[in-house]
Amino acid sequence: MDGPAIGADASQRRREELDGLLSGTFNSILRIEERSLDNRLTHGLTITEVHTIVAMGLHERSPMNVVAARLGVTLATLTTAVAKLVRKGFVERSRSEDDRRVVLVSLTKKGRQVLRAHNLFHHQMIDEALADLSEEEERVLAEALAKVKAFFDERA
Amino acid sequence: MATIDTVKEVLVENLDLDADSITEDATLDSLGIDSLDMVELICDLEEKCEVEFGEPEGIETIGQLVAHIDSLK
Repeated sequence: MDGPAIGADASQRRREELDGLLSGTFNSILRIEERSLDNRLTHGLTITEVHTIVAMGLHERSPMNVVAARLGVTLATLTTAVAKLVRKGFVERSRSEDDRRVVLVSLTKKGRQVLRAHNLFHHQMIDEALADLSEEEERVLAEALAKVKAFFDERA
Repeated sequence: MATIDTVKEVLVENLDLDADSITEDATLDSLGIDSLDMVELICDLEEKCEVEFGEPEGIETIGQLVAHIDSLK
């Protein structure tokens, strides 16, 4: 369904505004996420390390290649990251009983604390960020953003 | 050990709470347990009670916490 027609100039201005809104929102979320790490459970970790931990799942033992695919990184990149997280005590490695060649990774208690603290941060952030939207605004935003995200995902 | 006793043990250890104040009716708020404390508490209880806690929402009292853990056993 199309809204009322608007002039080419106004349309152009709105496109520019949306461009700025998307980049600005993306940058702000990144900064807030970085800042959220400054608590006793995630202190000293980078946001990339936290996302690596989250990708392993709360109670899973996942093959390295599965975690790498979830993160969209190469196995070599993940191997380096995991080695560091093992040293810091957030992650442990084991071998699959079915196939001893397959290395599995899982979270330690410290790692699960990080995952839960990070999820908590996300829940709180989204609740607060959307607090001023009406039910209808939230629904329209979700629909429109899903379409825009699909475009970016395809090219990422 | 009964679940409530394990919960008491962890809370006394982690947050230095008075064991007598930790009753089934006590709310997490009234005990001064914030959301990060709760993250630590859940991860400790998982190990001690040998359960996988998941990420339940709406737990407000010690009694609800104990009931949730018992439902996982």
